[in-house]
Amino acid sequence: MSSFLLYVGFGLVSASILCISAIGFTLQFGISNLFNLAFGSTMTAGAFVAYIANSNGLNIWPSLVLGAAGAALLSLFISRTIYAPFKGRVKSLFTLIMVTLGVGIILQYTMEAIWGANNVSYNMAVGRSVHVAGMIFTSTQLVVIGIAAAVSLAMHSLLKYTRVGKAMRAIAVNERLARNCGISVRRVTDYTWLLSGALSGLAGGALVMDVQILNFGTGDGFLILIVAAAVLGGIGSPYGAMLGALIIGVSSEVAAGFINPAFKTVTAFIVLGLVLLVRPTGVVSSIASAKEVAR
Amino acid sequence: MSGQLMAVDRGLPVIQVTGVSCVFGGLRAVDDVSFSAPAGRITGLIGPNGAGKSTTLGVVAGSVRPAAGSVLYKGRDITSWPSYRRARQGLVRTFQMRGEFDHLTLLENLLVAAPGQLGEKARWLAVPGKRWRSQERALVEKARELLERFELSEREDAYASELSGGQRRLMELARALMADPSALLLDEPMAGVNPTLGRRLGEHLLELARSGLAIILVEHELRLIEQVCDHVVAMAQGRVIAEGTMAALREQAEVVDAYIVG
Amino acid sequence: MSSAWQFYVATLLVYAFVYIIAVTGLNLQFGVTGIYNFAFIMFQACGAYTTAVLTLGRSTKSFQHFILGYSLPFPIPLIASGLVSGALGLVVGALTVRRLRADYLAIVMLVVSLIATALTTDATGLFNGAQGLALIPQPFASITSSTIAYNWLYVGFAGLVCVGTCLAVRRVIGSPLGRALRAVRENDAAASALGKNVTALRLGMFAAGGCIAGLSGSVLVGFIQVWSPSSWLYGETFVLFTALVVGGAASNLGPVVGAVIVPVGLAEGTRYLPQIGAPTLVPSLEWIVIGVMLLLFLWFWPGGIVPERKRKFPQTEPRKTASHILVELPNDGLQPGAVPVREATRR
Repeated sequence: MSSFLLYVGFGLVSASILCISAIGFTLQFGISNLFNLAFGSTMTAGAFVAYIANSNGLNIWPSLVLGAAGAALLSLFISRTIYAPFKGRVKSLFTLIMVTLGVGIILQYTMEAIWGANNVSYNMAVGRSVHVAGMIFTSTQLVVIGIAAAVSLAMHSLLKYTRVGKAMRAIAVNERLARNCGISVRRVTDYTWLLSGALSGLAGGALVMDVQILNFGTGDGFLILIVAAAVLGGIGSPYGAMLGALIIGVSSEVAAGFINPAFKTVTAFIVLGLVLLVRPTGVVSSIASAKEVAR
Repeated sequence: MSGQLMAVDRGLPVIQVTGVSCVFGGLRAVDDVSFSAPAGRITGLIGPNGAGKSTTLGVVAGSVRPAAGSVLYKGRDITSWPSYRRARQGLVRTFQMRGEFDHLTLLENLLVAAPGQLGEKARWLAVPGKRWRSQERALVEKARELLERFELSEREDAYASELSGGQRRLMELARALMADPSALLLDEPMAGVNPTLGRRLGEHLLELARSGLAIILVEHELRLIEQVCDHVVAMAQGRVIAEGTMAALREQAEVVDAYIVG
Repeated sequence: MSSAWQFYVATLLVYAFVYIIAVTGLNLQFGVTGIYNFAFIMFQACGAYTTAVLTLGRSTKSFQHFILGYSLPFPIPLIASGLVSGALGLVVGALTVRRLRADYLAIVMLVVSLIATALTTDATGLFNGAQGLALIPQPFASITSSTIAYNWLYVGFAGLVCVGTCLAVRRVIGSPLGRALRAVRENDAAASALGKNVTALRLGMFAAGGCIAGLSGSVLVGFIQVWSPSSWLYGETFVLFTALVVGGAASNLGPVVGAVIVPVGLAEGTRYLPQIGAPTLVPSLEWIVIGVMLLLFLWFWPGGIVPERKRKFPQTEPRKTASHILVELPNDGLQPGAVPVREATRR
C-alpha cells in the first residue's frame, strides 16, 4: 500500500544518515576497542562548524565539508589526547566507556555554553519534491541518500583494496598480531579516527539538513540509534553497520508511521535490546566475536 | 587433613571421566578422553602444548562444557553441574594464571575459599551476630596456619596483585586447601616456583594424597610428575595416547614422539 | 534564622540525604560487587512512582492519568517502594546473566534505561507521560500544620533512612558476604571455582541496590511532590557514578563524600554565582565541571577521595614464642601482627 512505501522512503533517508554515522562509530570500535559514546557530540560539533560557515554566507554543501573536517580533527584530538592515554593506563573497559561519556558531556555542554539552548538551522533550500517509485523525497534528501551510497562504496573499496584498509581490518581482528606483522598501529589508528570523525561530522550535517533543527543535544539524541544500528549489524564490521542502518532506519520509520510517531525511538531500542539478549555479536559477528564481546 | 575423607576407600575412583569431547569452532580440542582419578593417589595429566590437558581439566572443574561424555564425582554425574556446586562438594581447582583476587589481601584470598560461611548469608547478617564472628575468627586461624606452612605469613596483608609469580602459585594451593577439598584439580601449580620449594610442595602433595584426597595434576614440567604421580595419563592433540607409570610411559614411542614434536 | 533560609537549608539537607542513599546503593552494586548498572536511576524512579501511585488517591485523576491510585498511610508507600524497586532489580539483573563484556553490558543497561524513559513518556496512562505526576501528598503531614516544622521533621526522616541504609550497607561490606561480593568483582571465574554462586550474588545485589534506590526515590518524591521523566534522565546515572568515583568506591564514607561534593555541592554551590551570560551558561558549566572531574579523578585519583581500605585482621591469640613477648611490649616500634625479622627464619 502507498503509505507503506512512503514510510519506507522516509526510512531510507534515516537509514542513509544512520549508515554514514554507524560506519564511523563501528570503525572506532574496531580500531580502538571502545564504544565512543561521545560520537553524538562530535556529530553535533561538525554540524555546528557547518552552521558557522553557512551562517557566514557559505553555501551549505561546502559548509558540510568543513563540518566534516572539523569533526575529523576533533575526533583525532580526542583519540590522541584522551582515549589513547586512558587505554594505556586503565584496565577496565567500563572505565573507558565512562571516559567517553565524560568527554561527550564536556563537548555537549561546551556547545550549550556557547550557543545556548536555542535551536538554529541552516540557510539552505530544501529543494523540490521528487517522486520515486511511490516514495517522496526532497532533492536534498536524495543527495543525502547518494552521499550514503557513495560512502558505503568508498568504504568497501578502502577496506578491500587499499593497504590502510587492510591494516584497519587486521588491527580490528587482532591488534597484537597486526603489530607483529609490522603494521604501524598508531598511524593507522590516527587515520581511522580522522576518517570516522569526518563521517561523524558529515552525518551530523546531514542530520540537521534533514530535520532542519540544530541544538547542542542533536547528535546525542541520535546516538542511541547509531549504537542500535552498529550493534545489530555486528559491532566492528562496517558492512554490518550498513545493514543495521538499513534495518533500523526503515523499520523505525515504518513503525512510526503505522503505529505511533512516538514509537520511532522505542522501536530502535527494543530491536537493540533483543539483539543484545539473543545474539549480542550481531549479524556480521566476526569482529565482535574476535573482541569477545559476549562469552 | 579433612574429616570428610575418613570413610573413603583408598583406590576407589573419586573422579571418573568418560568419553569427554570438546569442540571449539571445528577444532576437536578434546577427543573421546577417558580416565579416572582414585582417592589417595595423584594422577598426572601430561602432554605438549595444545594437547587438551587444560581443557580436560576445565571439563572436570565445570568451567568448560563438553560436547560429549560425562564426569562422575563420588559416583554422581556432575557433567551439567556449575562449577560453584562442584566446589561446594569438595571438588576444588586451582588456576594456572589470573586466578587471584587482585584487590583482596592474601589472607582474604584464603578466607574467601572457606565453605559454609554463615557471614555470607543475609539472614545471619540481619541479626546481631556472634555466630558468624566466631566462625570468622576460627577461619582466620586456619588460614594463618596454612600461610605458615607455605611460608607466606609475612605477606598476609599484601594485596594479591603485589605477590610474586611463585607466591601466587603457593596462594592458589593454600586457597584450594582452605576450601576443604576431597579432590584437587591442579593446573600447572609449579610454574615459576623455584625447584627447592617445588620439591617441598611435591612432598606436601604426597602428604595430602596419603590423607585420602584424589588429585589430578596437569603439568608441563615432568620433574614434579615423576616425584609425585602414581599414575600418568599422556595426551596429545586432544586424545589420550598412553597411560601408566611415568617409567612405563618413557618407554612408549608415541609419548616420546609427542613430546619431541609438540 | 529567617524562614526562607530554614527552608533552603532543610531542602538542601533532604537532597543531600537522598543522594547519599542513592550513591550508597550504587556503591553496593558497582563499588563492592562490580555490577555495571547504567540504568540505576530507573530504580529511583520506580520507587518515586510507586510511592506516588500509592498515595495520590483518585482525586487528581481528573487531570492526570496514572495507574492504581490508593491513599495508603506512611510508612506503607516507603516500604512498597523498596520492595517494588528490589523486584525490578531482580528482573533487570536477570538480563545480565548472559555473559557480556563489561562495556557492552553498560550499553545494555543504558538502553534499558532509555527504553524505560521512552515507555513512561509514551504510555501516558501509566504515570501521566511526559508531564509526570504532581500534587503527590506528603507523608505524615497531619503531624504538624507548620510548614517549617514539617520540613525539619522531613529532614529528620530522610536522615534516619539515610543512616539506616548506610549502616546496613556498612555491615554487609565488612562481613564475609562483602568479601564474597568483592571476590566476584575481582574475578568471577575464581569466585565460582571456590564455591560462590556468582549469579545468585549478583542478582541479590541488583535487588538490594534497586531497593535502596527505590527508597531514595520515595523519600525524594514525598518532599518535592512532583515526578516526571525529566527527573530521571540517564545523565543522572552518570552524575551518581561520578559521585561514586570522586568520593571513593567500595568504602563506607566514599559515597557520602561523593554525594555531598558532586550532585549537592556542584548544584548548590553554583546557585549563588551571579548570572553570567545566558541563563543556561551556569548549568552548562556544572555539567562541564562534572565531566572534567570524572576524567581528572579517573586519571589521578581512581580510588577516590576515600579509597577502599585494606582489611587487616588482628592477631587473635598471642603466639607462644619469643615473638609474642616482643609484640606485647609497648614502645617497641612493633605493630601488632607484625612478624619480626627473627621470626621469619623460625621454620
